[in-house]
Amino acid sequence: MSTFLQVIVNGLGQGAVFALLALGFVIIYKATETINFAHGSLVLIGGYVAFAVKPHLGWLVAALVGVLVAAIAGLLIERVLLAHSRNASPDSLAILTIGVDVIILTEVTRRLGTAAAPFLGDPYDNKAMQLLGLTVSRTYVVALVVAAILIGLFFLAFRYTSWGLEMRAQSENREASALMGIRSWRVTASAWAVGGALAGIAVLFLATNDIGGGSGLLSSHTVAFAAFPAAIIGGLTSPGGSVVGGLVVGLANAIAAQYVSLDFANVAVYLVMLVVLLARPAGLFGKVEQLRV
Amino acid sequence: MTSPIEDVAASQAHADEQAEETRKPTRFAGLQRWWNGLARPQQWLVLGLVAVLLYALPLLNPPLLTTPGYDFPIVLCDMARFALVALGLNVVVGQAGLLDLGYIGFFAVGSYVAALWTSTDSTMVKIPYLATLPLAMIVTGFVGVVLGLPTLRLRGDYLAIVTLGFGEIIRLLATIIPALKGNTGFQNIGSPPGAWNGKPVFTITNGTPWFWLFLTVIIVVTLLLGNLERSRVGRAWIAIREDEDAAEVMGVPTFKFKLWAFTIGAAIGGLSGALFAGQIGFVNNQKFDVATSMLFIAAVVMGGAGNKFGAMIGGAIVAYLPYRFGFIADKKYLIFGVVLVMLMIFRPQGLFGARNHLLAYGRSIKRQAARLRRDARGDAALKEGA
Amino acid sequence: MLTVEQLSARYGRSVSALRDVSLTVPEGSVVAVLGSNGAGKSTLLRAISGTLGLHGGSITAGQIAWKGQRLDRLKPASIVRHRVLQVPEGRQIFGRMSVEENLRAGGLVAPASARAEAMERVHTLFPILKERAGQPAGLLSGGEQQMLAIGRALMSAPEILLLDEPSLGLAPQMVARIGSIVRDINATGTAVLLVEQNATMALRVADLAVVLEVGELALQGDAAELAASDEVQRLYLGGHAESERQAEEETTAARRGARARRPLGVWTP
Repeated sequence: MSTFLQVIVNGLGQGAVFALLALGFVIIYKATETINFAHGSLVLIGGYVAFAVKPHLGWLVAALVGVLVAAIAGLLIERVLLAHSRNASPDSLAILTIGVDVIILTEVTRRLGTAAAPFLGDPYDNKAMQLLGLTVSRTYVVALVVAAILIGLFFLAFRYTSWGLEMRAQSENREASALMGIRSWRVTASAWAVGGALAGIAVLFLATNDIGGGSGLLSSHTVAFAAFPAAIIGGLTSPGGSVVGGLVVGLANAIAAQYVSLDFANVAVYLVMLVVLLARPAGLFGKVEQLRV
Repeated sequence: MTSPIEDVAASQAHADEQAEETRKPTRFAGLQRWWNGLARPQQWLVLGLVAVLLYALPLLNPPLLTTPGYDFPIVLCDMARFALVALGLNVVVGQAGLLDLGYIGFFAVGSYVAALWTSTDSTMVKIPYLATLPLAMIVTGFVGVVLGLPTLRLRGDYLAIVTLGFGEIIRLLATIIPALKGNTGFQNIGSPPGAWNGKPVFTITNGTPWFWLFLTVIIVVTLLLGNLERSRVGRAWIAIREDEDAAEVMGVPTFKFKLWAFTIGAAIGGLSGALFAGQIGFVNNQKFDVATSMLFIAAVVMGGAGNKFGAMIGGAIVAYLPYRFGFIADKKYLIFGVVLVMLMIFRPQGLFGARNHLLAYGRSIKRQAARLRRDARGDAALKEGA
Repeated sequence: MLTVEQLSARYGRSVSALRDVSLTVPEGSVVAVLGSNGAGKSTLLRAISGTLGLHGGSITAGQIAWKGQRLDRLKPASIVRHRVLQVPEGRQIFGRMSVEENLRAGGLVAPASARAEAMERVHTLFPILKERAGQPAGLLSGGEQQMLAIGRALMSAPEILLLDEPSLGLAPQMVARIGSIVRDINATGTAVLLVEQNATMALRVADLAVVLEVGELALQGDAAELAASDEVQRLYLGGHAESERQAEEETTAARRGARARRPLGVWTP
């Protein structure tokens, strides 16, 4: 029983990190109508810079710098590359982000080289703690708490601030929102910056022994892959759904890893995704169809 | 009274003239005009010469093209393999407009079919290697249907991620399922029969016969696909790619035709996988990663999605460059990343762009249009003269 | 004063939608733009509000100015900041947001201090929007949605309002109501450029009117005079049957002429 509870805590902790990633991914999708296949690279670039800065400025500053860099990277991808191909089809833009992903992935991997695996979870990684009589890794608990706070803040902003209003208005009707004086480039750019920042935060938990495994930052790009099925499970257009999707993926992954095998865990995530899509073709909370009439 | 076709030709001529001023001349425009100007038999003759030249390539080993440090016929095999993959992926991405990021999955299934039924490491019944080619197509086609049935009803964005997941699943299954032997893999995969001077023709060290086999398969598949594209199916694919909703409303059963494209693409992927397995003689789970899938997409996009010749050339280039220019080999993914980004920004239609033969009478309309334009110019000249 | 000078616009490469159209909207007046389907009425409004690009169109010649400030090179969001507001065709409210959020979205460019007052004014003009404040806007009736669309535009205190077919798809009673709303808005000093197919209503509320035909200005003048003129009577206010059929033939012939210009084989993948 206690093993099961432990697995649940682990799953929720992991899921919370996936939720951060999927949330950023969905925000970007809503603002740009483009699948951002470079999301894993935002994770990687934030993590890389944080790792490079850490020996000089300490963990906290390094973490902040990493998050900032990831946000700027997102902003730059949108401003420099996507904004200049406005007439391209969504598929072309998706392929463009694949290109960006390949570039950043190969470059960061090359820079990291074959030296010892880089880790970013200094304050919490590899530290057990007691929670309600259970022994759990601190990383999962910290991740869960941080993600819960951030996601809560995001939804408050999404609901009540002008920025949130602009985001929602634009994703619903681009022309009408332009006619309200909403500057579409600012909405889009801010979405990429927020998505990047969330990815930069997520990597602080992904590049750990507890969640990322033995190769730390090196494997975070692969682990971050799970954000795609998470976003699909929740429904690509629903920020709330992406959080649910993230948790589902985290739980499925943890349960399969514990009770079947580590290798099967990744397959399980995709199987869950397929089952959800069979029942609900637009994901759990996605709109069935976005049609212009 | 003018016939409908002259009517269409007239308005096309008018539209062409209006569009002319805004149209930028493309690099290959001259070549295309020359090609379109040739009569049908002349086109066949040119194609025949090109084919002969291609068959002769491994024997000629032309100085500028050759690849120092690598066996040229083997490199040609790799190029042909990528061209065949691009040809198949182009049906899915270019013709039907379905962004398939897990094409490597079908390729892997095809490889494993060839391995399981011919390798000495496999416990399965052995069949002749050549029989595994159609078998691989059938099996991957079936996998395509199984994957397509639930996912092709989804909008494109979902499909891209689901297919990406499929590619991952296949790779992971190769690791998990004991019968697929994970990293150990299968050796001694079969090859086509035939001997020359008492030695077998098809060996893993001699690329030339394999290249000829690849080339023959490519030519057959190209001819079949060409027929398909000019049929109802091809028109339906173009309609779906341009506007799926409009196609559906016009009575095109979009789901059915998308499934067709997906299945045909899958079968060609499986075919190239089986050929690959035979040529290199060894299959394990390390050869089918997502990065290779991205290379496939890069190949199709580079040549121009929707243009099968463009896609094949793109595939050949993607395979060729790392061999020809050894110094880029370790940076090949970086370079293709940059190329993808640049292409999508400056030339999203690819190097060669798509050509659509929407109308069976497309050529005669073009000719009519040209004649009308000449007539109009002639009239104007006459008036000026008078 | 809004001035449009020799404006030409087209969609894509070659579909010409407006040719050499000039008109002025004096401050504080109501100007009606009449014309049949495809005459270029909506294109004119889109050109002024800067949204032509979102529909694949562009201005090819001429200029548009509001109070001496050129608008034709600005983005829609900047044009709104010059207090030129368009209510798009088909209302285009944010259906999944609440009525109140729709209004808040409309007031985003207004200074924070003016928003409460603007909300107050919209609620006085359309009490129903106050009643339904918390409801999803998508659940409103067609007439209510039109009121919301107009109210949303009023939230940023426009000096000129561009209305695109506000009566489209509404019951006759509601059409009359829209007419009186336009007058009410105009009474507060806001100029209105009203695009309408319902010529009867439009000519009743407008001071001036222009008639567009296949992208060109056919008639312009005092609304009352135009309403009395034979041609407008025949074409837009329901003359006798024979002339109506003739008019119909004329417009379809004209439209066919326009269609022939559409490129047939130019595909842009």
